[in-house]
Amino acid sequence: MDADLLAQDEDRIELKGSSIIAALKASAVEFILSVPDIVTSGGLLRPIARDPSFKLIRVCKEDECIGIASGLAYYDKRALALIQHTGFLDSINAIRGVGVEFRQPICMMIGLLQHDPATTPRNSPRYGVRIIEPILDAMGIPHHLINEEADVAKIAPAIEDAYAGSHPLALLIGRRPSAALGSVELDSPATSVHSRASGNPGATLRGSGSPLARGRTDNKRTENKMS
Amino acid sequence: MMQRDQCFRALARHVSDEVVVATYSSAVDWLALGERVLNYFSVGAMGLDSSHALGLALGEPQRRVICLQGDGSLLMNLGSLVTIAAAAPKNLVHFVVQNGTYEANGSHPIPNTNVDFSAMARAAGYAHVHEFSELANFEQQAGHVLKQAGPVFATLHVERAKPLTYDYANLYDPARRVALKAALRDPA
Repeated sequence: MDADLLAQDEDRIELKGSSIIAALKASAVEFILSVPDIVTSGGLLRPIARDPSFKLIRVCKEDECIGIASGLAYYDKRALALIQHTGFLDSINAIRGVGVEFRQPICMMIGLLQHDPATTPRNSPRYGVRIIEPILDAMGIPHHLINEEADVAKIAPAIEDAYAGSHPLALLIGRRPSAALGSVELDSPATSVHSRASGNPGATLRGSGSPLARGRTDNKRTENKMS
Repeated sequence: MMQRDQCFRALARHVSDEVVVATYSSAVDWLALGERVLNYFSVGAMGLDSSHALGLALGEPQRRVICLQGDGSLLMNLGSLVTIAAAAPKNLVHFVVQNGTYEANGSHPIPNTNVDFSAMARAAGYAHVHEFSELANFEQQAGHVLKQAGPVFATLHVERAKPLTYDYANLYDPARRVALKAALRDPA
């Protein structure tokens, strides 16, 4: 089984990827701009990649998301940068220039890598996570911690506010969103994997004994199609 | 070898309702040819020109986007070549203006002045790739390049320009962004 589909050890609190995706749809987010992040990979990026409601743009480096989202905003097209906190840190200058100084509605959903979801980000065992909220505060960027199901309700109003006020926004994902059964296949045009339907879409994956772990094929490279 | 302002004059003859994304020296030379509301200068961070251009191209596939990016800027965002090629916007024409220097930052050389950007774009998967070093040839081909189905890439080999005056307050005037957004929302 791929690492992104394993639940975090002894984490009994569920944050459903499907709930977050529903909130993004309710917010009229059309474009997802992403570098894969292990926190959000299984519960968000994989199902988003398969969902025709979204246009997924896979970028090479996170700061590309900032420019792309800005360009889209000129046409009132809503985008979400789905990135890891390390990518956020790498993109600070772009966020500073585009989001803060030029006041563009740059919405970021940031996975907190190796964070302990039982603690707050400011008390995280990881230095890289501890500094995220203070940096956002210093930059004047509104931020919300999405750590459990009740937090999902914060997403749509926050995105609405970011676009209404034309300012950046950070949604911090504190624990791995659970992946619904049936969301395990990779949908990148560069990969090919086994797909299996499930009659239990609300279930979450626990451990490597899941039937979803069987029958997968190895990733196979295919050529990108030119249009 | 060409001059950047000469190339831009040749290009401008074929530009009408396209959004033109330009920064630093390219923005200064492009603006010198005349004000137009469809100029996009507020890139916010060096190298992001091509990413803004991609966003604009994806936002409205019926409107063409021209990116005038310096070689130093593109070096800061080489991955965008791959991203753009994969997204494959038919309405994006991406120029890199190669003079081998960080002109706006003291004209220091880029790490490898002979880097082959066209080869990179070709390898990344752009639909059409061009390279120009003679003005007469570019003048003849510019209209064709702008009409091709993208993503299109073209390297313009130019000489270092004489020192420019960078009026960033004007380039980044918030009124430009407001006017551009209004024009794109209501093309009429």
